[in-house]
Amino acid sequence: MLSLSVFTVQYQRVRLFNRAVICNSVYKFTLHSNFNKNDIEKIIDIILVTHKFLEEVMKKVSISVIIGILIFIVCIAIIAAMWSPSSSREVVVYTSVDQVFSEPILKQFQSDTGIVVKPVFDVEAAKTTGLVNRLIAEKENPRADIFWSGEFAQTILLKESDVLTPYFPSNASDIPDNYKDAEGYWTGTGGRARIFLVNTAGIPSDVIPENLNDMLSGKISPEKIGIAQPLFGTTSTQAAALYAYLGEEKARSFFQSIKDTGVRVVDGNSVVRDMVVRGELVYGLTDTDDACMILDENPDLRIIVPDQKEGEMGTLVIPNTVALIKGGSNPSEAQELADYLVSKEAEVDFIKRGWIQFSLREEVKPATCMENKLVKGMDLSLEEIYQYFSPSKDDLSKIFIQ
Amino acid sequence: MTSLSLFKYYHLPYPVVKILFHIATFLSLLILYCPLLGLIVPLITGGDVEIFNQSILQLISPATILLLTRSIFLSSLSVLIAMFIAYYAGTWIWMRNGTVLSSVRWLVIMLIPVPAYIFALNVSYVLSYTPSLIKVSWGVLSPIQGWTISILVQAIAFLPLATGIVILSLDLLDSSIIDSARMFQSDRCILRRVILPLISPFLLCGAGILFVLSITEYTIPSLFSVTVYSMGIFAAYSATNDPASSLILSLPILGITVFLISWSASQLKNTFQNFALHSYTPVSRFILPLQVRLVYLVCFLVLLIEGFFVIGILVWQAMTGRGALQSLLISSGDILYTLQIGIIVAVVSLPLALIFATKLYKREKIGIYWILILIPLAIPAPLTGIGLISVMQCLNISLLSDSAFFPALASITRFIPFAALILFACMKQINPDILHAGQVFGKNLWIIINRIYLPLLIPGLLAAAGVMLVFSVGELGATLLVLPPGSSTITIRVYNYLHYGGSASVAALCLVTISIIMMVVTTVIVLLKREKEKLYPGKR
Amino acid sequence: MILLKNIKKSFVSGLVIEDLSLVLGDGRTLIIQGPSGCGKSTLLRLIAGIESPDSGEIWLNGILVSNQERIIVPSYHRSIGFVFQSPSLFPHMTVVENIMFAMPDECQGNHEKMAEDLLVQADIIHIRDKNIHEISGGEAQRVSILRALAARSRYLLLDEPFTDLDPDMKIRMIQMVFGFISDKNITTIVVTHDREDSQVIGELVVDMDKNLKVDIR
Repeated sequence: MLSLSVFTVQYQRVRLFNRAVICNSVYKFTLHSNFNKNDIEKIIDIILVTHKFLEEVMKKVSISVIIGILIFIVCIAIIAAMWSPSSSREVVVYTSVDQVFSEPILKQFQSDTGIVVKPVFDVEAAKTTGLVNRLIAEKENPRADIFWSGEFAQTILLKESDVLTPYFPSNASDIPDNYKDAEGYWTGTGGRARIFLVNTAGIPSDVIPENLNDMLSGKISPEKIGIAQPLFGTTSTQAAALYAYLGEEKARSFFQSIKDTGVRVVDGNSVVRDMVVRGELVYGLTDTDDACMILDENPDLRIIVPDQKEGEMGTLVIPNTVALIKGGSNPSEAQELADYLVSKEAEVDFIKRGWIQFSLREEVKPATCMENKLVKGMDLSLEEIYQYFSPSKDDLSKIFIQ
Repeated sequence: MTSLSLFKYYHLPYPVVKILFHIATFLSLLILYCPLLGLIVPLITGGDVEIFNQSILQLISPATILLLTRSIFLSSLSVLIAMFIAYYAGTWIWMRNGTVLSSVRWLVIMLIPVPAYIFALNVSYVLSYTPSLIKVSWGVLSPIQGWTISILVQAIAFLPLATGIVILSLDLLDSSIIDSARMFQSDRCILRRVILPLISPFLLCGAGILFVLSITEYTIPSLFSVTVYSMGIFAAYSATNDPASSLILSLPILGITVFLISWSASQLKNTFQNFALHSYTPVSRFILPLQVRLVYLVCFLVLLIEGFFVIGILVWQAMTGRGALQSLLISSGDILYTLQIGIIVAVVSLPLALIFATKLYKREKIGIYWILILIPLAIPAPLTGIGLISVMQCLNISLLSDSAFFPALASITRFIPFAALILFACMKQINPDILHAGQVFGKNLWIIINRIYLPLLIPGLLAAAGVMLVFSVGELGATLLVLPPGSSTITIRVYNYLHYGGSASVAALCLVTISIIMMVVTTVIVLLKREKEKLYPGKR
Repeated sequence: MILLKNIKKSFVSGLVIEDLSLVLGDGRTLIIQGPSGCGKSTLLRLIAGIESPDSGEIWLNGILVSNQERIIVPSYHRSIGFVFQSPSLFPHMTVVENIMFAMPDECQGNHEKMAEDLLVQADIIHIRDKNIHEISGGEAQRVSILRALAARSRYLLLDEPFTDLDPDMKIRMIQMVFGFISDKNITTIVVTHDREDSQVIGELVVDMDKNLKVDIR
């Protein structure tokens, strides 16, 4: 091996010289090796001929041909990428559930059933509710079989856009009716709630909020309070819920006050969470999944569920929703996945993974981070909240954007 | 050298050649504009008139105009600050060519692909741990939230790209001009009266591009509670789920972008002939007065600190946080898929960019072709994606829609103007008489293109392919909407993890992205140097 | 035959050729001289098909090749050998490859030998395998001339071909070039600003003018 490596080095050094010189050089270094002269000469001849051949080829082959070959290889690569051994069973799922949670869950389903799951994930930071608009745009030739959402408003929008097809999952009989579409277009499953995440370090107890109006109480500088941009995500859903519960005028006034007093409006729930953890904010409005994720990291952090007292409105509980896509190519596989996602076992699994904190089934305990507290939800149906989705966004756009 | 015998007797009548070129141009423009067509045609044929009318009213409302004005102000200031610091920092690095300090340019290259949002998060992260005293005084001088911090952070986020533009424009200077100037005047005078005027077209063009990037960027301002016009566009989109409203609201940005880029291009058009591809190594150190040197040094240090700060935090987060390694293993498929898309983009964009560059080269004045080719830069990414979905639906070829074709097309349609500009710059640098000699002595068009034009354009082709690959790695908004089910890219995973808050995972994936881009850039630079030696030899 | 009828050409900087007509019969040689910027090079470029006239017609061998703002027959189909004012050699090819590139197809199989013969005649065989950046300006100019000769074209256009050459080499190259073209009946136009060159070459000389009228059959 040493001789061979020395030979290679020597070849590189002397490749400009003639054959005799190369051979002589190599002989010296392989004097005590097992190679004999004939073998060495044969190897050198092969290398020289190959080198000469490659040089001639490179001279003859022009750059256009090289680019043409590259384009040809690329086309083959595209075709190879799209060709895959056709699985007997597969399902395409579009999901707005965070990839870090949904991916392992879907992989678990794939492993349990053998149905190949092809997910398409949404990206919160893109902010264009991209997945929903993609589903609407693909309506005539849908690629998705099933839509799994982390909330419900977009699902109802899809129903109204005639993107969904009705299906009553076999595992959903014990889910309360107000969390299911009466016509079967979508089914709710366990979810999250809107809460305050509070950093109690060094703050007096009377500063700790109990309801949403405490954000405007002035007990603490508004710059120490944060909410996510109310035009997107679950904050926008909560805004719609407030419009539905309080009425347009009161809700508008509430958000105008939020803006006017200088409450921090930041990029998303996770940013609110991070800022509370770091102490930049004393408390912020976020989701239970964001809050529960970091509770263990800091003993000063507390979850406060707002508006829980007698006579108060309660907080928004946001269920996941599952819906089948009209015209999907794999309806039976989609139905199987829907049954899986709305089942009690799945709810328990989701709670354990930290994606949801509440089951819609009374017998399933909430996540430990909620300290077994029962959460009083807002007395509104999901359809009622949805009715105020667009009007609230119009108002909030004028308040927060313009 | 001889071409393959298959093409030896290939002769086409010249009018046929011209017609074929026109057809190729038309097809290339069709590809470039297919997202826009996919967006506009359905709107014309079946759009919601009420939403259309509302969008028009919203567009001309005083509130919208005020928001647009403020956004322009924010972007202008950010770009000005970034270019100011970048000019001094980049010039300092360039003056140190041939020394160890010039290797800081590699740090600049590493920072360019880091998403702007990461810069903002890291700044916010550091601010939160800043001692209260500094925070208080900072708060007095400029509030931690609001316009000031947004402008500063955005300037910092764009600083690497701005510095890269400055260094590139300095590298393109003809060394003989600088050497001869240094014989007559002081170095300080040379910098002000020779070098700055020569590179100013590039700087203006770079500022124009940065402005376009800034005005379509909302993630940094929103982190500091500042609302900008582009956020308004997406808010409208989110509220109506109708791309018409976004398209109409995007018109002012489109108009600004077209104007800026056309103006920038007119600055550049006649400048390339004064330049050549080589980097200048000063024979003797530049001698500058102390106060001037301090300015250069301070700006250089700002860049250096920013670079080590960002890379350092990413490395620290990746090594100390949880889940970094696991997320890398999970993302291996995404990394391969991203590379696959990148390679397809790099190769397929070359013929298109070549056609556009040839069209630009033939035009004496800035005209319709310049605007046509550069407009796609201004179209927001999600609108490109929605347009491509319409195209996908129209073609309805699952062979294409289930492959990397549409994600690659998303990047191609968004970024090919850059590739065209790079090739145009390369064409401008070639002595026209060499091309004319090719025309005169070539036997037919195939030989002329194959053995003269393309070999001379190799540096431009390499640079264009590298730029397209790098941009495609970071593309998000359009790719997200056209990805086939079961596929994902590394950038999508980064943004998903950002939302989730897995900073270690985000840091690890960012470092992987940086590594990919560094490998591409290094390869391109090594190959460029070899070609440069062959084509522009003996230049320092 | 080279035929130019009422050619007009202007650039952004101004009118270069106003109303030029030229007839040059087969095998004839014409020298055009004049100061820098008077349009000599423009004239050659119009004939070569590198520029198109604003108005007028250009005919080569009875075929209309260019007319008002249109190039009908491209340069590579006009059978032209051109020596540019700057050598304009292909930087990605060696000296011998530059010369071989210009050779017509019928020389295939023999082109390397023929190129070497030309290099020997020009006394630059020693730079055969060198890259363009490795040779001097004078050597580059000689290679440029050899490339034009190697094309074996019907028409030869030389734009200040001997500028970078020392006096002895200049005479040698003139002898070589005009020996070559007289053997092969090539129609030639030489452009120069140096009156001494014209005297050495000894062919018909005209002064360039915007309204030049020449008829040499």
